Order: sequence, then C-alpha cells, then structure tokens
Amino acid sequence: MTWPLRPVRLPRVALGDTQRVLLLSIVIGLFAGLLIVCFHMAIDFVRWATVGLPFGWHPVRRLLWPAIGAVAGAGLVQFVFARARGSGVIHAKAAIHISDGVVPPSTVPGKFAACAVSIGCGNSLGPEDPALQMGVGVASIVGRAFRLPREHMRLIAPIGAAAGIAAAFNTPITGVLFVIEEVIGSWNAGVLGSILLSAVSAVVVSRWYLGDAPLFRVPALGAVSPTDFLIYAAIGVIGGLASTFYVRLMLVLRKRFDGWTGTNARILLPGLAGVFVGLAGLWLPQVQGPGYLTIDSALHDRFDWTSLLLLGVAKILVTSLCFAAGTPGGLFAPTLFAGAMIGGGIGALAGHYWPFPHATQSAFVLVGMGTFFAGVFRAPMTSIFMVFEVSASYQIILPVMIANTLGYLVARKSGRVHFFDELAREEGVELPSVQEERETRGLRVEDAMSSAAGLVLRPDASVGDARGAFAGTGQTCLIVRHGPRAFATVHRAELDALVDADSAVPLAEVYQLPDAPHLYPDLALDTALRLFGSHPALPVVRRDAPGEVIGLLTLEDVARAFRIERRARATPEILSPK
Amino acid sequence: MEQEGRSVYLFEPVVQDADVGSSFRHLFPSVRETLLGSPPRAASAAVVLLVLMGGAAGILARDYDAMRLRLAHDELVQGMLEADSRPDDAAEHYRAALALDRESPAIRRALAVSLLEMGRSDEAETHLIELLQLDPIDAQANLLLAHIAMRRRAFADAETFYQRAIYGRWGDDAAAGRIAARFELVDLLSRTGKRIQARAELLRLQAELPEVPPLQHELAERFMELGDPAQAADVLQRLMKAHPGDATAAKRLTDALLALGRFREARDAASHALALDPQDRSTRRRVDQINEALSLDPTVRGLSPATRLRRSGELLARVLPDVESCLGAPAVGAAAGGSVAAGAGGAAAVGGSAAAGAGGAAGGLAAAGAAGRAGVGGAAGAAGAAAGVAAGAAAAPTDWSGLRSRAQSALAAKPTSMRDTDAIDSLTDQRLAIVDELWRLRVSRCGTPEGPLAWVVLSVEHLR
Repeated sequence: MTWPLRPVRLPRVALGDTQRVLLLSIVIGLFAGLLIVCFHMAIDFVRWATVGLPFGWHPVRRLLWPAIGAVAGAGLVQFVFARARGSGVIHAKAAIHISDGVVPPSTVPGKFAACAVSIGCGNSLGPEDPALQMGVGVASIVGRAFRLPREHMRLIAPIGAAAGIAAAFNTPITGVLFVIEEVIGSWNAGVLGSILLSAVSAVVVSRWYLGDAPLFRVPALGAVSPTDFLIYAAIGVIGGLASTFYVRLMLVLRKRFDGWTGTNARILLPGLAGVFVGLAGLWLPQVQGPGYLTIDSALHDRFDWTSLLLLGVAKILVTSLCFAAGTPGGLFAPTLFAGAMIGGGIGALAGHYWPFPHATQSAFVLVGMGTFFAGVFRAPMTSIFMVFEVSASYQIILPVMIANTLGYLVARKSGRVHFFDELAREEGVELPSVQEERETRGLRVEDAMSSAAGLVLRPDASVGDARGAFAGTGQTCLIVRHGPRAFATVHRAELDALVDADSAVPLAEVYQLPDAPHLYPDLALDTALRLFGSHPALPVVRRDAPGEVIGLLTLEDVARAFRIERRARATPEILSPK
Repeated sequence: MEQEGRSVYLFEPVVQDADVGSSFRHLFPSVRETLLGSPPRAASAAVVLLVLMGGAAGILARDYDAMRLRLAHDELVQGMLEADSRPDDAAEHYRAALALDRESPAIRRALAVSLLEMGRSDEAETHLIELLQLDPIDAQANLLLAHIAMRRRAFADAETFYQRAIYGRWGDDAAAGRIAARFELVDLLSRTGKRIQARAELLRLQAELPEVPPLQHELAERFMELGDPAQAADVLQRLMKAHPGDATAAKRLTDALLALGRFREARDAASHALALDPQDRSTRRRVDQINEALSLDPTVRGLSPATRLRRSGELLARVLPDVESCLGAPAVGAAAGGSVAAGAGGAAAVGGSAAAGAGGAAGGLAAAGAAGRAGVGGAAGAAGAAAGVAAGAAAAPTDWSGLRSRAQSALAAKPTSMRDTDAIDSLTDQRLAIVDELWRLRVSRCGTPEGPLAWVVLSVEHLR
C-alpha cells in the first residue's frame, strides 16, 4: 500500500529525544482525550438505551439489564478482546516494568466496548480505570508508531495513563498525581513534564467536547468551624477502617471466585454479579452504575444519615461482587461513592448530636470521598487534590488533608496489603510495590563510611608519613590533601609496591596523585558508587565545611554496607513466625 | 485464546506481537521517519487521524448533546405536569433532568421550588445557593432563599435576600417579580416593626406599580395596615378615576376617608359604592353610619358655635356611658385586674378628697400610684394602691371618678349667654378635651371600637 497523502513539509527542527517525547505527550493526550470523550458518550448512550433515566428505571429493566450488560461485557473480553482483561493500573505498571511500554492495541477497543456495555447497563463499576488503561494503550500505539527507543517507550505508559485518568475525571492535577503516586511511585523529573503535558492536553480535549464544569457541583461550604475537625477526624478513622474492609472483601471474594475457571465461569460469574446488582437496584436504585448522580444528590443534602450509610455499605457489597466476578469496569467511581456516603452519613449523624455549629453536609461528603480513596488506593496526595479539583473549593483542603492523612494511616495500619500489589500478585505478576518503594529508606554514604582520623596527610607528606599512617590501622586507603578542597587517595597496596622508595621522599614524587571527587554524608550510596572511577577510596567532607574531611569511603565499605543492609532486612522475615 | 489462569498481564507474547507490528508497517510503510525525520509521515498520519477523530467526536458530541438536552427537557416537562398532583415524583423528574443538564438554571430552580413545596428546605437551599454561584444576581433564587429564611425566622437574612431579589435579574416577567418581592419585603418590615422602612418601600412600589386594580388594592391595603390612610386614599382615588366601576375600591376608599375623618367624602364614596352595588347591605349600613357620624361631628366646617356646643354635648353624652360600660366590663388581660382595683380604690378615696380632678391624661404606673396615694385614708384605697403598683403600665391611666364628675359637670354646664361665642367655644373645647381623655381611657382599657362614635372622636383628636 502506498502512502495516500503527500507528507507535510515541515521545517527541519533539531529536536532532542526528550523534546520529541514531550511533543508526543501532547499527541497522546489529544488522542486519549478524544477516546475518553467518545467512551463517556458511549456509556451514556448505552444507559439511555437500556436502563434509561434514573427515575424512569422500570423494575424489570433495573433487574435484568445489569446482568445482561455484565454477560455481554464479559463475553466481549472472553471471546473478542482477550487482552483487555485486568486492571488498568496494573497494565500500566506492567507496561513499564515488563513489556517496555508495549500494550496490546486490542486493549483499547476491548476496554472501550466491554466497559461501555457493562457500565452503561448499570453495573456498579466506574469508567476511570478503563480510561486509564485505554490511555496506556493509546500511548503504546503512538510510541510504537513513532518508533521510540526502548528507554522512552518505558515512559510512555505513565504518560498515557495520566492522559486517560485526567480526561475521565476532568481533573489534570489528579491525573498527574495519581500516576506519580500509584504507577511510577516516585517524582521522576524525566517523565513529569511529559505526564503534565499529556494530562493537560487530554483535559483540554475533554472540556472542549463535554464542557468545563467540574465533576460535581458543590454548594458553598461555608466557614469551617474548629470543632468540625473532630468530625473530620472521625471520618478519617472510620473511613480508613472501612476502606480496609472494602479491600479485604474484594480480595477475599476474588480468591473465592478464582476456583471458578473455564469460559462458562467467566461469563456466568459476571452475570450472577449482575443479577445481584439488579436485585440490590430494586431496593436501592442508587447503587447501580458509577453513582455520580447519587454523589451529587448527597452533596445537595438529599439523604439523611441512615440512607447515606445504607447506600455506602450496599455500594461496597455490590462493587466488591462485580469486581471479584470480573465484570468489566473500574473501581474509582464506586470507591468515591462509598466514601462519599460514609463521610456524609457520619457528618449527618454528628449533625444530629453535635452541640456546636457544624459544616454543611457537602463538606463531609467530600471529605469522606477523599478519605476512602486514600485508604483504598493508598494515594493520599491524589485524594487531596482530587477532592479539591472535583469540588473547585479551596476551603475543603484543610479538612480533607486531616481526614485523608488519618484515613491513610489507619488503612495502612489496619491492612498491610496494598490493593494493587496484592491484585498483581494474584494475577501472576510481581511488580515493584509503590508502597514499599515509598517506605524504603535508601542507604547513604554516612551508613557506610569509615573514620578518616589520622589518615589525612599534608600535600608534602613523605612515603614514610604514609607508611606511618597505615601502621597500626586496618585501613586500606588514606587521603592526601592537595589544596583546601582538593584530595587524592592512596591504596595501601600501591604504597606497598614502592618497597624501594626512601621514606623521606615526598609521596608526590614517587607516586602519581590524581584528584579524587569528594562525597557528602547524605549522598545516596548508589550515587556515590558511580563516582569512584579508578579511585580506591573517596573522601567524605562536610557540606558546610567542604575542606574538612570527616570520613573515608572505600569500595569495601560500600560492599559491606549493602551486605549488612540485606541481612538486616532479611532477619525479621526469617525470624518472624508465619 | 487466552490461557486459563488469571495472568492477564503477561505481555511477553505481546512484545513480540508480529501481527501488530506488521499491520503498522503495512499501513505506514515509511514510518521509520519520526518527528525529527525529513518527511515526518508519522506526524502527518497523527495529524490526519486527530482531525478525523476530532470530527467524528464532534458529530457524536452534537448528537449526544441533542439527545441529552431533549431527555432533560422531557423530564422537566414531566416534572412540571406532576408538580401539583405528585410533588415527590416531580422532584425525581427534575433530578433526572438536572443529571442530564447540570448547567440549566431553569431545571435547578424548578427542583428547588418543588423541594420547598415538599418542605425540604435544606436540600432546596443547596440548589438555590448553587444558582447564585452561577449567577449572583439571580432574582428568583434570592426570592426563594428569602422564603427559606422567613421559614427559619432569620428575618435579617430574609430582608437581604428580598433586597437582592428586588434589584436582581429577573426572567421574562421582571416587573411582576419585583413587585411581588417588594410586597413581601413590606410585609416583613412591617412584621419586624420597621414601619418607616416599610412605608418607604411602599412609596417606591407606588411609583413603579402599574394601574392594575388588584395591585393598587394591595398597595392601598398595605398603606392602611401601616397606618397611612392618606396615602391609601390617594391610591384609591386615582384608581377610582381610572376605574369608576370598581365597587371594592369605593368601599376601601370609604374606610380610608373615615380613618381621616373626611366624613362627607367618605359618604360620597360609600354612596358611589352603593350605587354600583345596591344590594350590598354592608355598604348601606356604612352610609347610615357615616350620616350618623356627620350629624354627631362637632368639627364639621360651617357649624355655628351653638351647634358645635350641642354636638360636643351629644358626643360627650355618648362617650361617657360607653367608657362606663367599658370599665364595668372584665379587664383586658390578667394584668389589667390591678388597674380595676386601682381605679376603684382611687374612686373610693376621691369621694372625700380634694385631690379629685387632679388626674388628667397621665397614664401608666404613675397614675395608678397617684390613685393609690389618693386613697390612703381608706382600706379600699390602700388595696387599690398596691394593686395599681403591681399592675404597672396596664393600670387605668387616669382618675376615673374625677374624670366622670368633670364630664358630668361639663354636660350640665351651660354658657352664660348664647351670644357669648367665646364662652360657648370654651365650653365646647372643655367638653371635647374630656371626650378625648375618656376616649384614651376607653382605648387603653377596651381597645378601639368600630363605628360612628369612634370615627368622630378620632376626627376630633386629629383636629385637636
């Protein structure tokens, strides 16, 4: 096939690899934005055609459509788009760590079709995780089309993920932060610019087509009373515990359903979950679908505390079932729903008995939403900024920070398992744990260096001085100071080789002393390792007095430090009873 | 087909996915050139694809929006149809409509109104505040928030919301909305005792009110309620000029003129009302009462001094028994019990005391105390003093016995000569002053009665 269009004659611009990736990030963001816009509309079209509008939901439709949608979605995944299974977050991480950024292109149409049908028919799942996965898929396609080298292809997945999630939530900051917290796990400066560009361009496209209104319309929150913080703290603690229960329930149910293998089971299980959703919907229609409308109603004081708590618990149950059964769809929206209802319920309950003036219910709903999200996905920063972005209210930041931090800590304490890590393990892949990475303290120079006392010689030191310095010490290296901030290092073996040299001869005359870079005590040990070059050791100096040597780091020290560190980490696992 | 396990993230086969790679090569044979390449075909392909996808998404979005707005409109209409019969269902329809079209102020307002009617003020308030976030000068939202504030008895807030509603942005029928809001504000100000502000608002309203009889009636009624019969009469007279057949206006004008003591004009207005509706018994009776008042009123212009004297005597002779019967009746309110005792004590003591006639129009606690002190000589007087002090401001405001004796004296008095107009006028004024005092006593004890006697006395008061 020949190329149908004449190529565009662009002026030749010498772009580096980084600039090329930045440019492609915008392209990825635009493609992902367009796709998510279509996805959003497709879900609504399916909903209007099947279950209809919330009030118009006929009981029979409410009962049957979730099951039909779940079976259809699962069937699409099972028979047509087999690669579209699984979690979008894990897909993105797997693309980074396993497949060098490559994601099967069939993931994109597969997720699109299966999730549009499943979610549109009223199953209790959301569109954000599929959107993230589609973003990764789009990024992979673009990266491959532009033949990006391997090191850049590895960065392409988070770029696409940020675009997908940002477009789905209509929140660029949330998209960026979620990818940094949950997918990459660190503030990688190399990819930050690309992620930002893709997220922003995706949101621009999304707003162009769907409008720039925030996800929720939040009524004015009013002044935050100091006494309210006790209620927010209660929401944080209870939300943290509830999120642990939610994660455990999903994982337990998933393990139970693992025994159901075979094609029929993979179709039947989502169908059964759909029936359960339908039955729940007869009683509580609000638990069907992603639930944004219900969250909006809760923000507008529609429910009393009993209804709110009931809806929160019901949503946790039906979502867990849908997720464990393998119904196509994501967990973000239902998680926000459950958190919003629990937070709103606690706030409304407190409102009955709280003797002091208290905030409006919408504040508690928002705080609950963020807390639960932080507890389930262990992404406290994302949850804070997500609430800020979806509510477009700055007043809520302080309560959300308090409650989310508490919720995150309680969830971490009460449930050691990180949801995505455990899920990946169950799915058969060992991916780096973002949580472990965050909690790991890297080794520094100060952990490995040895004392330099008596081992720092003047520039005019003789061979005898050097021999004298080594005598009586177990050290293998010493330091010769050239100038106020210039040093050289000498290995004992090198000195021993100068057996014929007169002791009075200056060291500089018989031995070449090349300048050695100096280290600081807080420098990461692996960074220090890269600086050794041909030097047998490196001096460690104070940052506030670079001329003052406080230690010496040899390669042996480094090796010892890493060995000691490994043993120290291994010990609790070996000793701890299983 | 996929393997049986759950390992869906095993991408090794995908990395080597020959099909995908070949399909790309097939579609883009010279895709080796990247963005930095000489013929950036991949970039061209991306641009073309973006344009195509953008166009397709645009078409889809247009249909999507059309369908969404149509569904929202249907739900809104359905809600409006059910608003009266099934407000709960109507609210659900409005909610569904709002979910489809969140930016629509009309739907949000309809939902807020529906929720208010259902008594769900808190929920309605959130939607109204949101409307104000979208448009801070949304007059209808402010008016509804004023209603919520009134329900919560937050009158200061209500006043603010009413003011914002009056000067805010209205929809189609701005004038009617503003007028309704101002009437409600007047009621609020009147209710909270801010009569001057209320009157000022009414005067502003009068300036912009169209010549529509129901509105003019309402305006006149508010003026009457605020104790401004002159302004009410002015409004009604203009209305009568424009609508001479408006019997209600004629009757209301009669009342306003009576309150002003303009009996002749009142009689004309009442006669006009009677002519418009000859079967109206109340109007007929009102005409008779006015004639009676006219025959009793000593302040009518053109009367001779002798006639004025006669009429003042007749007036005093009618007021005195009226007050007597009033004081003989059970006191109004519990506290008034003391005032009866005080009055009785005072009366008993005054029988043998030179202090009689010292009362005058002074009222309240001081008068009651004075009545008690006057009766120190007798047990009844002491009891009256104690009761009078206890009764406080509600006690009889004057020395009743002295007043009665003065009234009787004035009735019995005759001018030395019917030609001495000064003496006649002096006696007339004395009688009218006593009438005034008696009437104050009567009003403080038994309230203001309705009828010719009251009209005439008030007319005399005005004149004095």
